[in-house]
Amino acid sequence: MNSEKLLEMEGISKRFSGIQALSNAKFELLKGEIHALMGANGAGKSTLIKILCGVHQSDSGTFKISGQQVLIRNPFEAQKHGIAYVPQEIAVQPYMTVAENIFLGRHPIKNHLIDFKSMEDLSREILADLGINIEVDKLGIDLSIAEKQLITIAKVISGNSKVLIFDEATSALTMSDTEKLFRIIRRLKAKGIGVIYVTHRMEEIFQICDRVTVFKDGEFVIDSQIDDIDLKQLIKFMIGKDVSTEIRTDRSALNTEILAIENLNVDGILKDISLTLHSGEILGLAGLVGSGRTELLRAIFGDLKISQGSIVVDGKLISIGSCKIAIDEGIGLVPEDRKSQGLILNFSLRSNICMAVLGRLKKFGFISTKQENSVTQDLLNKLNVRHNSFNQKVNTLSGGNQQRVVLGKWLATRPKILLVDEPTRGVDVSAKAEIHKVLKELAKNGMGIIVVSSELSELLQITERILVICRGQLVANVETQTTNTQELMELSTGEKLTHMDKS
Amino acid sequence: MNSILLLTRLFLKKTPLFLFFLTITFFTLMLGSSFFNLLTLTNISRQISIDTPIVIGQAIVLISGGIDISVGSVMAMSAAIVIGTQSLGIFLSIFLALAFGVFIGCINGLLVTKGKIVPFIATLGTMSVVRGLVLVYTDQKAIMGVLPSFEIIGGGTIGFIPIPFLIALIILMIFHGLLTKMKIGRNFFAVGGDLDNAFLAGVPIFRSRFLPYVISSTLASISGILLASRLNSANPQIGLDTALASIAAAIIGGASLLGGRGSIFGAFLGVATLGILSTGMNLLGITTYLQIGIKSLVFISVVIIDAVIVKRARSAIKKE
Amino acid sequence: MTINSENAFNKTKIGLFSPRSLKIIREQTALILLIFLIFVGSQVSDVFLTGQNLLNIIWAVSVLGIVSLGQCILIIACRFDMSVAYSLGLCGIVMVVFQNLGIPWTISVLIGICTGFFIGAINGIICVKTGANPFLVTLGTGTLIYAASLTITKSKTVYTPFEAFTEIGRGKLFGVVHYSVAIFILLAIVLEIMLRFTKFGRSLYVIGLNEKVGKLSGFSVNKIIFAAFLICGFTASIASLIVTSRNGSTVANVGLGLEFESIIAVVLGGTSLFGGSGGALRTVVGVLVLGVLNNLLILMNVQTEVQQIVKGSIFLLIVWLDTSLRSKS
Repeated sequence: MNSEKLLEMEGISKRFSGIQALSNAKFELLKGEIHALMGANGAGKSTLIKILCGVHQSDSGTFKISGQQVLIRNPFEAQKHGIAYVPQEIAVQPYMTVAENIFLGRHPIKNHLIDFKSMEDLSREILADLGINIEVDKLGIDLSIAEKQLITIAKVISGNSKVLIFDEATSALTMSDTEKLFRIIRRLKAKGIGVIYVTHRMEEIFQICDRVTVFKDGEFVIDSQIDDIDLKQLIKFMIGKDVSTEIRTDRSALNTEILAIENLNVDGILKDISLTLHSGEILGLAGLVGSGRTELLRAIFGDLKISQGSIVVDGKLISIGSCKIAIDEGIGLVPEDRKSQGLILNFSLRSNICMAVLGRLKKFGFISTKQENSVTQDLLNKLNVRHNSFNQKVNTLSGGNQQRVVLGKWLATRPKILLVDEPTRGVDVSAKAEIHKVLKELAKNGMGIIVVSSELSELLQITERILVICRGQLVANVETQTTNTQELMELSTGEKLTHMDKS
Repeated sequence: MNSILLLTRLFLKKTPLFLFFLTITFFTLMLGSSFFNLLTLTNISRQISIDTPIVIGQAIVLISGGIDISVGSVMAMSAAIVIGTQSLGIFLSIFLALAFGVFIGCINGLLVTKGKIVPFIATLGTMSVVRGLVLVYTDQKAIMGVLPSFEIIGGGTIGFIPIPFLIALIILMIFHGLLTKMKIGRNFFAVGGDLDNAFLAGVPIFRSRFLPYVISSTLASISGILLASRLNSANPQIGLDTALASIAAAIIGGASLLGGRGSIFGAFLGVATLGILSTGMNLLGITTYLQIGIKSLVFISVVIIDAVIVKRARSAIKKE
Repeated sequence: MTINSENAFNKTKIGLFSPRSLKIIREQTALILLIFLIFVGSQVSDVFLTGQNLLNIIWAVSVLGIVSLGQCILIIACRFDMSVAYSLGLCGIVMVVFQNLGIPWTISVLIGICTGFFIGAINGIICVKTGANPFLVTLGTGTLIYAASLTITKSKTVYTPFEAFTEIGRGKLFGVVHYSVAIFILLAIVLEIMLRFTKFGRSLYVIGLNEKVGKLSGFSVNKIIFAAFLICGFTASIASLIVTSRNGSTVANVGLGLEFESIIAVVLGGTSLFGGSGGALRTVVGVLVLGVLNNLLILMNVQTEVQQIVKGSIFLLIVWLDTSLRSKS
């Protein structure tokens, strides 16, 4: 293999308002190499990619392309230097043909008019060259997700592309689509293009990649040839030392079953999920991004339509047709994205906290400001939210405090069952500890809690049991005490590595 | 689900043609030769030709993801200008009328792009201001032109083809060509279809969203000039229902309120269909009021169908 | 990965045009303008501050005001009703027509109000069920209503046969306050209380900004939006009642331009077109501003056409201000 270095990044550091996203990171890419970039959430992968693509500039460090030092100030300059990026969210023009999608912005011109014949021929060539089998006159709206991705690849790869970056390329693809994609990536490799492959799916990197770099907490950990490392070691590098689990000694004996789900199905997303939750219990939900954990919570909360299956709350069979019903039955959901789903950022603390319980805060039929204030006071104190006044807008609060406000909103509804999706995402260390404390306290007082988290150590710290979801199905149900991050990660990536040929 | 989408799209593609023939057939059946004769058809084609430029302009704005409801007022003002300044000579008066159209188009374009104002609201504002200008300029009365030769443009024929028809045909060809065979036109589709994708592809965003409004207003001016020329007069009631009618015609022709799709020839079929509907209703003796009612029902149906079908198709892809 | 570079933080400008002072100006625009206009009025015309003139202002304002209150409710939820102008005509026409058929005027008023609800319901159902653009849908239904009005009245003015009926528009409560003004103020207060102190009212603000959060907070979003349309239809019918009874007659195009003016009044008062802010009392101030402005223009003998140009320009200015402030926050 040609050992020309396409990319050499060294000493890269980047800080964002208080958070050190990258610290002295390094990354190298050779010609014709398929190089995986791995790390847990927040490890710094996407920051590095953004620097590569010109969306950000690093605070320090050197960045060389083919041996030459470069400064990339925006995405267009990145393109000029031969860096192509295939995003996770694929978008194509719905009402244009494949050929035109590929050539949008750079149509071939003849006599001042678009040369459609040329465009078609050229795109056919490009597709054939890449080994992609799609008719060039198909409309964007008719393409499957996989086909759209392939077209996007054809589009971003141009004459001078040296580097192609894939960001979670396979999260929406079927097995066979993934195989097709890999074939095309191998073709690109044969042409000398360097591929950076970012993914959460570890079995894939063993199928397709030559080399892997691991980041953790913004720092470079290791750079190894794929042949020289195995899955267990890789996970260890990503996660670090096994965090000693504080086993919950203060939990009350598990009581009644307050939630029982049987054979829950959501078309195309979840298949035959069954679980039980007891009052006083904290149940964890582990799994890779896109495996269906958030969707499971949404389905229980009435935000996603269930195609099959039953939900029994406190012994009562309920048909949860809307979030309102779920709330009435004592279920609350702290959503994944607090800024767009949990809070109205422009509204005050008080408005946000009382939003779900307005029906209860009435006096003579009207909302009583006094009651609003007392509920707000009560919860802000309980959750230790630092604030100046109730009228303060929540967008002035820190991430940790905002998350506490969302939690407060749901605690106000006095739920029996609390569903929490990524409780400490974007939250600083001390707030994180406090939120954990609150959750444990709630469980101790009888609430049943289901926690979804991408941070396995978090699940190990606060739960009694952990369910693992993989591609929409339940694959494991383990006692927290008996497992560790290593095992959980292995379970999340699917059954033991299926032996797919690395041809 | 896929087969439904396929059928829907087939239907949508052929709809303008289908509706056009349906309407002609309907009225021919109902009225026989009092409808399907040379004189009536010539008159219809003259009227359709006068309305064609404005509908094409609306289609282009819709394609780029916007909307322009000031077209009716611009049409009226241009008509008023071309008549009111006729003493300066026909060419100058036409130039002034067109210049006005371009000017308002630039204002609309700036309000939407730089001002970031929602297109409906922005053009609602200009519609109101321009309508006020019309009322001031015409003193709320009809005004008459002084040079009879002006009437040739709107009223004349070459052979038995009305001149407006030829003008409309030329405009049709020009813009069909622009939108299907030139980069500028394809970029209109791109910004209306998926703005992010267009941005990443390097499509000039400002230009592609600004120009459609200039084109729309200018074409509205042309329609106004043609209309004024027909009877060598202009009155403040011109174009009061044109905005909605042009939107309906463009959507019948394949455009969508969500942008990214549409067709110039389809828009022509749309305006033709509505024109036949109008004349047909007149000949059937349907009262003006009922006609207004029917036209509004057509408009509401068109908007609802666009929302239901096209929105569903678009969100089906996004959800995937 | 988003396209926007996270490095583009706004540089805070100091002085008159800083985001903060612009915000304050925006919040109290209506009040500032009102005071300014009253001052100008007193300088420009001797007639301005006379009792009769102030009465004229108040009369004109109550009709626009009531319509604007309904429009405000919708705008908070990020919707619009462009059919109010024509509803103003039809509801009144229905009342008068039934009166001419011999039905007691009280019943006819109820029928007229039901018509308003009915129109609101149609608008609501279409907008909620199809997700179509409310502007265009209501423009369409508005034209339909207009056609109906024209058909019924044959473009002629229709007169009420009942003297008592005209009392509503012309008479005074306890001989002090005009009924029309009292109804306007009462409605404003009731709606303000609803907006601030009921779950329904609060939910409108949430839905206007983020329907997803609304849904996840347990609000029945569709029902709430439908109800907002009903309210707007209702207010249009009440406004119609007042103008019809005051004139003793009505005509199909009595409300021409009202949809536009009501939006101006609402936005002037401080309610954002993007939803989630504003209120009924604010709208009252906006209506007063517009009413005083209209009055001034008439007193200064500015022709109606020029008035339209002025109003259209103010509209664009206010909307631009609203939009640019929104993108700064």
